Amino acid sequence: MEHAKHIIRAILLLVMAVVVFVLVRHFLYPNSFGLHGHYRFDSVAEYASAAPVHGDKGSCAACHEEQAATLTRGKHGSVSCEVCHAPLSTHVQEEARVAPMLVDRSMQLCATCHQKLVARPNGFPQVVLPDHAVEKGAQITNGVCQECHNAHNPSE
Amino acid sequence: MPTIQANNLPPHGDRETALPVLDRRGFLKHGTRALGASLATLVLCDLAELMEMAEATGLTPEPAASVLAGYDWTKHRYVYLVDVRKCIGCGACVRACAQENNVPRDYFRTWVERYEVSRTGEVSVDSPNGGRDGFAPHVRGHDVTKAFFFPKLCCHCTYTPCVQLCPVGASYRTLDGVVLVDEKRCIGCGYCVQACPYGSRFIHPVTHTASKCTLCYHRLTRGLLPACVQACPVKARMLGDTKKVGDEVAEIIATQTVRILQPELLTEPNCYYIGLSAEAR
Repeated sequence: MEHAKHIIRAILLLVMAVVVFVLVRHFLYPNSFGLHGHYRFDSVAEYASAAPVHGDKGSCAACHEEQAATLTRGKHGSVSCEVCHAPLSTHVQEEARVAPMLVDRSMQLCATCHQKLVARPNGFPQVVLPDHAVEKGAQITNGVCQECHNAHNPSE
Repeated sequence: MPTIQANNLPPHGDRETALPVLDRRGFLKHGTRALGASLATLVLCDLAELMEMAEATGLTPEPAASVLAGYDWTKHRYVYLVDVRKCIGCGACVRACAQENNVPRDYFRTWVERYEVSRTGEVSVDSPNGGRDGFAPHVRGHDVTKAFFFPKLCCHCTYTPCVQLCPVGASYRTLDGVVLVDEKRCIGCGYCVQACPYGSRFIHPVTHTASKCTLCYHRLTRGLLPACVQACPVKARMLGDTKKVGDEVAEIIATQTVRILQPELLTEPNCYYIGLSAEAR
């Protein structure tokens, strides 16, 4: 065993190399990298922790039961409140009212869905605006559509 | 000034006795000890962190697969379905997406295109402001025999060109099938933006990192629908979960005629289209 110390030295060098590698890797690799693939797993949790801006369909009905009931009865039942108004978080945060909800009565808002366009599906209710309003003898003002139609239930 | 010439230098033996220089053997011996001791100190100080890292690198058995509180990502696999025949081009999805994800103005994580096709096969496509403000009626230079709206978003491909070429491991696909970008890792090289065949990525003008549709991951993990799906007034956009028993959307994809975009690229998109005409690109 006269050469034993050569072997011991070689092993020591190897161990040192491994330790150096592990340390360097530790400082260069971010936490949670490689846990589920070639990416930082913490990033998934970061995405998941973002606060939703829109509520869900039931959020508005919690306070506005009447409007919600009117909405579900009519043809606008499939339209989420936030489409015509604004995202829930602009109005309510942590169950407290922070600002009044946006109410847009403009013809432009109605036109985004109901302006007559060739590309729209045939069965979808569409009118040529503002001609439709003029035909019915209405003045083109803010809220002209609401003079005849209830936005929450257009057939009422 | 005296000049030093090679033959004026003291002889080798004299120099060695004059300076307390270590010989090679001594240098290696003491050096090794010193290095070993400092490394050992580092290792001991860092043991707890090292254990964590060992876990992270898979050297020790993984903890439970679900690390997101109250949400098990092994129990979901999302698919997206767009019924082109229903889309009215109102742009509610584009607005909802921008508000939900704070998408900078004039950049789009989802957008709507309008296709107008003539009898002779001329195709006109427009998407003013990504369809955000809806579409206005207009007159084409050609007759229009067929027209439709074509909503687009990230296809959340199974074989993602964007993830494959990311040089820093910033782009990835989650276990529940959502392609995301780690904004802290992304160096903004833009390779993924060019690699995406569906044009669904962009470089964020403020953070200068790649940005894209996340399928509203923060909503999915809370059991909510993506903002675009919830905003769609005609249910042209639908989200499905193939791991959920009796899922309506998964059932449609399994039983009806659906189309994916650019199937020849073998990216296996998880965004399906119903009623999409051949002109759509």
